[in-house]
Amino acid sequence: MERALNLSKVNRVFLEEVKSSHTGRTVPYCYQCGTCSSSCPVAEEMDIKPHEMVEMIKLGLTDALIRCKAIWQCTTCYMCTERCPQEVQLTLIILGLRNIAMREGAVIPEAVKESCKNLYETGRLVTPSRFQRQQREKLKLPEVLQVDTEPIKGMMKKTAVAGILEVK
Amino acid sequence: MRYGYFPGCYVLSRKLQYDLSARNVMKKLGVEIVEMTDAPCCGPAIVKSVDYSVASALSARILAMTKERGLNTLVTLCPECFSSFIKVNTGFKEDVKFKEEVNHILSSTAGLKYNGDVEPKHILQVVYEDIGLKGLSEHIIKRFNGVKVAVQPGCHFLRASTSYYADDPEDPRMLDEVVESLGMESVYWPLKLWCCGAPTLAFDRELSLKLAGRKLRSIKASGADCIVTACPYCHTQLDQYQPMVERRLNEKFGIPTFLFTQILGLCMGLSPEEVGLHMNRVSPSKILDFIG
Repeated sequence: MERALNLSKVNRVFLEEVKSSHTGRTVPYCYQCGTCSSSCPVAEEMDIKPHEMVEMIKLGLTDALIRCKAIWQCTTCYMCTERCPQEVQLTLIILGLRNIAMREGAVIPEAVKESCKNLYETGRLVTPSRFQRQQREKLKLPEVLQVDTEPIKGMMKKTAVAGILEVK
Repeated sequence: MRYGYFPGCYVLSRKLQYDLSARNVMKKLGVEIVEMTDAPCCGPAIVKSVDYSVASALSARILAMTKERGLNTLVTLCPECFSSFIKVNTGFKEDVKFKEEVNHILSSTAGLKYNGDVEPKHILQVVYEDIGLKGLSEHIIKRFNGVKVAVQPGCHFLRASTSYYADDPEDPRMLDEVVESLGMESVYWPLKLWCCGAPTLAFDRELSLKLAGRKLRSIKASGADCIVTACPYCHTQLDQYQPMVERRLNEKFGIPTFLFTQILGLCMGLSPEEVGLHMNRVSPSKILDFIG
């Protein structure tokens, strides 16, 4: 990653945009102590460390953030959020960055496409296979009922993945 | 005690031993459950990655459905579902704008409204808080004396405690005390609080298995005979994928991994079939010799 700050790539409204969302409202509290990055189980693998992500939001380095690998390496274990002395909700911030990355069309991971298609069609991320249904019956477990998928279809149409769901 | 029962999509199809053992344990404990098998997805991390508000509307829809059925408490088996519900409730309290946004999505698509007034409960809390260790002891007829356990509570049950305090996030004791009441010894292992890697499996398989490998190494070094977890995803990483991790690290573990309701059920006199032990990947036979 380019470590020098290139002012021509600065998005001056990015901080405002992130700050006004539910996931990003705690960004301003960060004072860069780095507790999050030293608590993170995957920080050593990341091209941008958790505490750097927050500073980059403040600096408006949108492009580098939404195209980095690190936001997808987060395991959402909430260790950073737990230990932050400023109660910055970093896990939510990273989820928010993923939302922006998808909305801006920077990336839609294959796993997300697949899961969203399942969700759109069945109302569940995973559904029992025929074998699993038979197994449930054998174990005398109640049948897994069909979900009313209309509300979910309506919800998914509002998201960045609407285009891949073959929305009619 | 009458609760809505929401095992979660993953348990309903991929972790039948959790569904089975939990139902049988609750029956023995006299907990009445109301089926929610028609409820949709809870909006876990992968959906939150697409759109946090829409994912929250999915969670809110299930909570609103619970309320519609005249229930105030929803029991989950999966810490990820538990956390999704908790985060809607605390998010609604902390951020009025968020509450309005989620309710707008919910009412325009499902014709429902949610006020943040249904209490999500993980099954571990039902056992530990509602039944209590004293109440539980009346149902215990067998014990696993002397078995050393590495307890794995599951991240999403513990964190972030800033929004909901279920157990001590840095030194969790709830599941430890439950297994200790069954005669087992909960051992210290340094990576207990770390993520098992399950949530990144879909995005970065190698990273995910690397994290599982680190945990298994830490458990092996602690001298534990087995692992007990309250999370279906941790169970998959540590049990189902254990042979795969062994091959990658070229190291043998062979550590049986149980869902806590399986161990609990066995101690309450349920048979190995009634807690679905045959569906676990790593053979638990060496642990079963200790029961008595």
